Amino acid sequence: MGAIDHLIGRVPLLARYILAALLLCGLILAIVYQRAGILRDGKEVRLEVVPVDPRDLFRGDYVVLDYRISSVEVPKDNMDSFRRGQKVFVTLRPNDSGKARAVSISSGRPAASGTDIVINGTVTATSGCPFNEVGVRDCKSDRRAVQVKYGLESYFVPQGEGRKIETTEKARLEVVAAVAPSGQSAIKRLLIDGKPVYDEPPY
Amino acid sequence: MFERGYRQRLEADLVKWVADGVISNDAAQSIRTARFGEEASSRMPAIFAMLGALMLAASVCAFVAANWQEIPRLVRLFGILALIAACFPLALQLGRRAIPWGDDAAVTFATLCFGAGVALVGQMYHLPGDWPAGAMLVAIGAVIAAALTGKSGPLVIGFVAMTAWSFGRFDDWQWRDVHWSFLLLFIPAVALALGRENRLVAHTAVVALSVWLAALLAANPVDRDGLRIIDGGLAIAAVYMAIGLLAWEKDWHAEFRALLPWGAWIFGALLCVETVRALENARVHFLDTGVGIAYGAALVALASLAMLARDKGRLALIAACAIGLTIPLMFAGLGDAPSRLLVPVAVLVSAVTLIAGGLVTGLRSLVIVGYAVFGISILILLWRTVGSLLGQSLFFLVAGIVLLGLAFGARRLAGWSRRMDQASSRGAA
Repeated sequence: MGAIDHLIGRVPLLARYILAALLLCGLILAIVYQRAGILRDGKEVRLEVVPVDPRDLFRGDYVVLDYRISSVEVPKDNMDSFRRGQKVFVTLRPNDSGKARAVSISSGRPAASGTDIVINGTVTATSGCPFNEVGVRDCKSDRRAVQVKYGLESYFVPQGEGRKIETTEKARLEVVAAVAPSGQSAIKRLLIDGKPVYDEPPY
Repeated sequence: MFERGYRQRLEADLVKWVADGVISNDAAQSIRTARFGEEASSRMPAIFAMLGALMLAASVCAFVAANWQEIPRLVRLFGILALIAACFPLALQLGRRAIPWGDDAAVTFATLCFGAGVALVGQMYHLPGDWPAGAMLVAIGAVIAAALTGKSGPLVIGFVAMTAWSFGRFDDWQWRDVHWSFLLLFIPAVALALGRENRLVAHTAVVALSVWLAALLAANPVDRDGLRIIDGGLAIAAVYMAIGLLAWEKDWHAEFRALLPWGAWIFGALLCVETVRALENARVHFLDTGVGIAYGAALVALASLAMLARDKGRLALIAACAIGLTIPLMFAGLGDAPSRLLVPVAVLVSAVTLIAGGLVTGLRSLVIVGYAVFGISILILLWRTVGSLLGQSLFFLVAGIVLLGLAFGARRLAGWSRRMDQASSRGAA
């Protein structure tokens, strides 16, 4: 028996087994509590889902979602300040129709004002094409964008139901996400033509 | 010391003694049963129980993946939590009734259910496809379960999950960053494993370490050609073999002993890769800091083996490693033409020395690796001709004569060694 086993072995067996069960169950419940907190208390933002290659949209039993805010425009001389895997803060501001647009990105947390909401993200690529006004990627202009993921990109569905979303025109899809004051986010509702098709309760 | 080699030698001796009439067949069978029989049969329930636990866990995982809406997700979640909670008292009962295999299987099942629970929560809250983070959580849970229950099954799961976590993180960062966090889990897990003397735990620990070390060599700057993994990998494999052989002789923990076969196979595989590399393009590679550190570690390990070990075979193993380690130096220091000839020669000599080391130490894995490298290298050389076919024919002719000369020399050496042993035993009598 090793030194650590010997040390832990001083605690009664029953207590150790109870502690092991409590810790494993507790770890799972801690994640549930943290995620439920975001859904319960987070501010809501409406996100537009953008067209993606259908081959990439449906993987097994979950749907891959790409958002307009996944591409955040940055000044060209500022591209080098971001690297893949970096944690960033993106400021979202609703447009006239209430759908969120990414207005700025920074490596430090900015102060949110008015209707702005700051959401946490991770840089997935440092060079991409930004969206133009009609929501199509524009690679011809000099503008450049940083690709960001927010942890909202997977939507799990019951077996076989992913195809329903897959075959829906992406312009009709919309996601309502809850953003906690810390910047963490979670999918709250999935809408088709503005009507909820999936609603996520906290528990 | 050298338990596996001892088993093989004993089996060979038993067959010979029965044939020579030294002992009866029944006596030989009794020796086999006393030494191995009980051990093999007593492991069978544990193995079947563990496989059963794996099957049940696979069933739980498939149920979670089905995302069956007929059962509310909270019911599914608490069902899994109940399974985890129920397994521990069950394991405790089985342990108290002196059924250790059931005890370990129950705790292993609970750990796998914990993994299924993490997957379920990810599904419930549409957590992103960050599977390395999920693997990390499973590894944390498994190490906790292994520490508190003293069982080895969760530790195996922990090492497997750690391997996935580390590999996933390197891949996420495009091999640019070193995943140091791996050590935060790996070191406590190894500290736990050292007292368990479980071979499966030992081997999974070595695999986890090897994947991390390979990624470490590949990372920062990115090793696009894989040359740093090949060159540094040879040095790390030499370190593995040196520590492994010392561990066998000094009867160190199973985790150190497991380094020997993995080191030998990695070394052998990389020698074959070096042969192909020499014949394909012979790209020059200047050794950098990462590979240099690996070489330094190899030198220290081989020097320690030379000083601390007593087994005669250690010198052959050191020679095999030293010859293999000169190959990256040939690529770094020599031009294209010499390496095309010298590298295959060095690979073949290293393989032959490895066989010799394996024969003297009685470690069959070294012999098998040596034969495998020798055979595969000849096939590679026949496939990718060095120079003309006539030149290659001459190469094999010279190599064959040298090996026959070695065989003759080895026979004389063995005869001389036997005479010396007999003389010393007569003197002692």
